[in-house]
Amino acid sequence: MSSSSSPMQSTGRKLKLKSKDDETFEVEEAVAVKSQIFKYMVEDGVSNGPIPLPNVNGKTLARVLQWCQKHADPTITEDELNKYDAGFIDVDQAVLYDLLMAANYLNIEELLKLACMRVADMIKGKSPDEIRRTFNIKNDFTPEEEEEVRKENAWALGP
Amino acid sequence: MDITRTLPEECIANIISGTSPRDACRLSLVSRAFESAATSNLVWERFLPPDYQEIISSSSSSSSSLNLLTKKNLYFHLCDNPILIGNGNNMSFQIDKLSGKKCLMLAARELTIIWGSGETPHYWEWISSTQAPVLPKSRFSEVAHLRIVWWLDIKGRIETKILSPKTKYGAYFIYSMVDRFYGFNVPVKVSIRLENEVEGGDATNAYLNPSEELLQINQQDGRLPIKREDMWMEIEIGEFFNGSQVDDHGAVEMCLKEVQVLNGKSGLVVHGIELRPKEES
Repeated sequence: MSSSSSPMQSTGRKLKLKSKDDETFEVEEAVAVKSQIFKYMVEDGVSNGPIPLPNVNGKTLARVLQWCQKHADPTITEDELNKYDAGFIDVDQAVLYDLLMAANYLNIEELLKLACMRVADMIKGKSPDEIRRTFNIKNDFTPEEEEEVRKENAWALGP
Repeated sequence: MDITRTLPEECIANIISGTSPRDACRLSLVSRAFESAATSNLVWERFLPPDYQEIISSSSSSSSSLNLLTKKNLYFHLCDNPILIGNGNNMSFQIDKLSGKKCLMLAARELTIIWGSGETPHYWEWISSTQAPVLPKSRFSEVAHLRIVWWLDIKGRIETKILSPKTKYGAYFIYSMVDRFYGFNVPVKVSIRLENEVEGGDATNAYLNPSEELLQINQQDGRLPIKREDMWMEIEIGEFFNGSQVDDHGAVEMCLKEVQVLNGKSGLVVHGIELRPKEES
């Protein structure tokens, strides 16, 4: 199964990408270079043949490429972009997590920033316990270590 | 699905830097990985004011050892230890702990005190703060001591661009009272206005030394002072919103005066005027 980018003025070549679950995608260079990884590949001329991405699944990659396309569109206004981003990142935790990982792996700065801010908004004001539960994180402090950290950050832990 | 196992620390730090100083400290307790990310320089560099390096290096009173601190330690150091800046070290800079925004204080020498130029010391007298044991400790070298005036007129002025943008600020008159303090049963008038704006500048009453009766009444017609942790008194002059840096509002002018009743006043010691972020109510 493959999906290709919309037919904008073809400014250049297309890149072929293959997700970890073997979905292939064709995307315009101008769109793909939102990712620093692809940008370097294109500059170094090693972008022939499908590029395997063993760390990103097809669903997530499709989403990410959609975002890149929107952000590579020269006709879109800043307002429209902000609106788009707000809707784009309003997803459930599992999807958000996948987007975060993909943006980090593919080195897409703007998308990474967007995803990080969203997670930041989700954790603001929460107690350490709530955060552990939300993200399934284990408290790996020893009781002494935890006491030490508590002391160092006492002002933030007030009543 | 423990994200800290798969996300690099820098990524977690990026997320934490989008929260707040208080959140970052709380987040240190989640796990070792979070503690490491939450204490990183990446996070605290974002919480510090963007021009903090410039401010520190231009200050003659800050020691070079500040550069050796981690950004987190520097942040908290600047919260509790104002550093002197400006011409003649007549301003101080520190950080508001909750928001990371700038707090600036104008020394008495930086204010315009009518009859306080120093040429008429029988009205206002300048005292070296090291030689005034009865007064609270001052961060500045001098404070102004009122011996006697009838016309009380004190003004302060500060350029809004040196404050943190997009912040609501409160301006506070910092003072003390020494022996033979009188004339302040009459309230003074305080006002604040942005120079580039036409409106604003409405005066409010302020009671620098409210009587017991006044303190008992629930509805006063003016502001009341509080005693600070550093033992100086403070009374609010007013508040204003400092917009984004793009629209330059010029300067903000703060005023405290009593020029109507014109009774004799004495015993006031002026430390300065402090501007600090006010929480959105």
